[in-house]
Amino acid sequence: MNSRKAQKTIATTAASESDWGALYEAHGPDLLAFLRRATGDLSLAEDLLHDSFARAIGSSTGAPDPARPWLFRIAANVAISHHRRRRLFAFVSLSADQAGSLDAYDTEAEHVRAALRSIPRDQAVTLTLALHEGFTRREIAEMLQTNEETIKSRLARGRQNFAAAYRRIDRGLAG
Amino acid sequence: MKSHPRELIELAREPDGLSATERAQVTEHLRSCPTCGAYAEELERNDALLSLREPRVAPPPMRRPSRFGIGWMPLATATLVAVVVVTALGIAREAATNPALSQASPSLAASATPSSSALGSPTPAATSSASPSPDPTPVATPGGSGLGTLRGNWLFVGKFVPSETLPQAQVEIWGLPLESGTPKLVFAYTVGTAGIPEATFDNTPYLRRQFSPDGTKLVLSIRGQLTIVDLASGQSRLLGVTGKFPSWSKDGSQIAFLAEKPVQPSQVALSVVSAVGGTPRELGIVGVPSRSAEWSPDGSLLLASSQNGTAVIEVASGRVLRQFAAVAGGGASYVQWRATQPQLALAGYGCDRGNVTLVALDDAQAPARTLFDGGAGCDRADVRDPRWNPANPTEVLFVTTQMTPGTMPFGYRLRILDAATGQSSDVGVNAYEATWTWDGASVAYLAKAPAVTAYGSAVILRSRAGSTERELLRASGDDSFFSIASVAY
Repeated sequence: MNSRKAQKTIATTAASESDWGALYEAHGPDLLAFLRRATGDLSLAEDLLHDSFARAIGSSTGAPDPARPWLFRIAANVAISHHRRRRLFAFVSLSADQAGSLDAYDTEAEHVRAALRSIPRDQAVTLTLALHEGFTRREIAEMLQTNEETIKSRLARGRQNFAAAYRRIDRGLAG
Repeated sequence: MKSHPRELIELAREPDGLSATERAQVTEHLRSCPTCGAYAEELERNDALLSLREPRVAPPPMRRPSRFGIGWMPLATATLVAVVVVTALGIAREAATNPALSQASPSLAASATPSSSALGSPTPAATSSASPSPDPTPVATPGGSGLGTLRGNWLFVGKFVPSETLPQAQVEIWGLPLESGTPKLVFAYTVGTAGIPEATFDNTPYLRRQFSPDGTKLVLSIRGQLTIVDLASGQSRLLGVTGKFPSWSKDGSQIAFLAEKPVQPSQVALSVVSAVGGTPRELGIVGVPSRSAEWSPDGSLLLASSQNGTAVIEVASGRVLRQFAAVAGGGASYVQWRATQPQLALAGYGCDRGNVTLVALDDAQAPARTLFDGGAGCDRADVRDPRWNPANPTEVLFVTTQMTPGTMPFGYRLRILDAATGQSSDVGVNAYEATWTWDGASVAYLAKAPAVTAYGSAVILRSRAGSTERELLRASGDDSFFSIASVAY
């Protein structure tokens, strides 16, 4: 075992249950809000949050300090890869968020979620990371393992698609 | 630019999305293309919507692998279990809402249910998180945690914290207790400072008009959305209305605001909406997009500024009852309307509209009586932000600034005037904006240091007689204070 691998092993084993619990407590609400916005579905977001932490706990490096960008990186990729798997089913389920009566903000928020659900997931995730979470293009590019130009283009296309989707939904033509 | 540059307009939303040449082309095109202008505004509104925080929901308890009795699982096992369970849960949920799948895979849907309870037992937090909140949805605050119990006399100031690299700034609302305690950050949010040239930014709110009558809440326009901030908790909720420059009626029931007309960017509508939300009602076009309206004490009238003067508008009908020729001066802070006579102190100006004056009116229909004459023409003293002394019905506080064409306003002298005698005196300090404390014994002002920033650099409390003065809060670097209000609980 070389020294680098040994360090990784120590980092992993040093991450105790209480450490992960603390990280979950500290970042879980923000990650859940991000996943809910990016997927448009609270129940799915909860599942993906657990999926993200399962991956984090199983990582060979342990949590870096600060952990927030790293956790968002995992969650963003979990959200995108989940969507790729999910497309095989070729239908969209109703979310719990859509049930029941909604007040004015809920309606608007649900329209935003519905519009994000209807655009390509990589664009929805990128828009959410940039506008909801405030990450820079460079940070997003690092998270999604691509370059800034791709992110710039994804944001532009995402804005275009979101505008069209939101217009349709807000006027009652969809959603 | 011959074609409509939709892609460039999308890229223009990014701070460095375009080259300087491209940005200039887009700006020029937007001036002559209403369709593209409307699209640019739509993208701006959408960015605001996408920036609104999701309501903070407690995540369900962490699913602990130790429930399986084998301690922390290896990566492969944990991932396999997570994938199987998540997939099973997904299929089960989809089966419940999709009859076709439910019929195709009944056994899979049924077998997935026990697995979900094996991983983590449902908890009240998880159950409640999926239910719509009965309360209007809170929006997480970027900073600040509220003031807790509200008692005594407080000052509230708005602080402007510009970004060094981006065309944006942070607006911070600070509470300053006057009896004891230290200043506290109540709430903070990000505002734009540049971008689309035609855009109007409500990024330095005039706080006095934006408090609820009991002083426990504040209405702000955040990313173009009317937002109610609870001062005790620092939590906010959206009213569900797009608008800028809001003002809260003095009976607490309504909020007046301005909204740009989507297809007529140069026109601005004055509207009202219930303070608990609902469908807004448009009262009419006011023409000036940057000044909030002042409510009459009984909530039946609004005084709004327009390019052709200042209008008294009946809220029930939208009818203009009276029009003053003088254009409102002093930015957002041109008038105060109280119940005691004289009710109105109104500042007006105009290079080609006669003298700059501060006038008093006993009521909205009464003749105007000049209290202070700032002179005529473009080289004159401007008058801004009149505020009646709550403990002395004839005293009014205001600021004069020297206006010289081609230069920034300067001077910013704080004055107190007695409406009964017409006598006015220079307080002897430079102030961007000022207010009385609720006992009328002191004046709090935003000290205006020359050539530092456009606004105030410190919050100062000064006794009415000028015998004592103490600094309550100071801005650092390029930060500055832009508005001040006094609230008694």
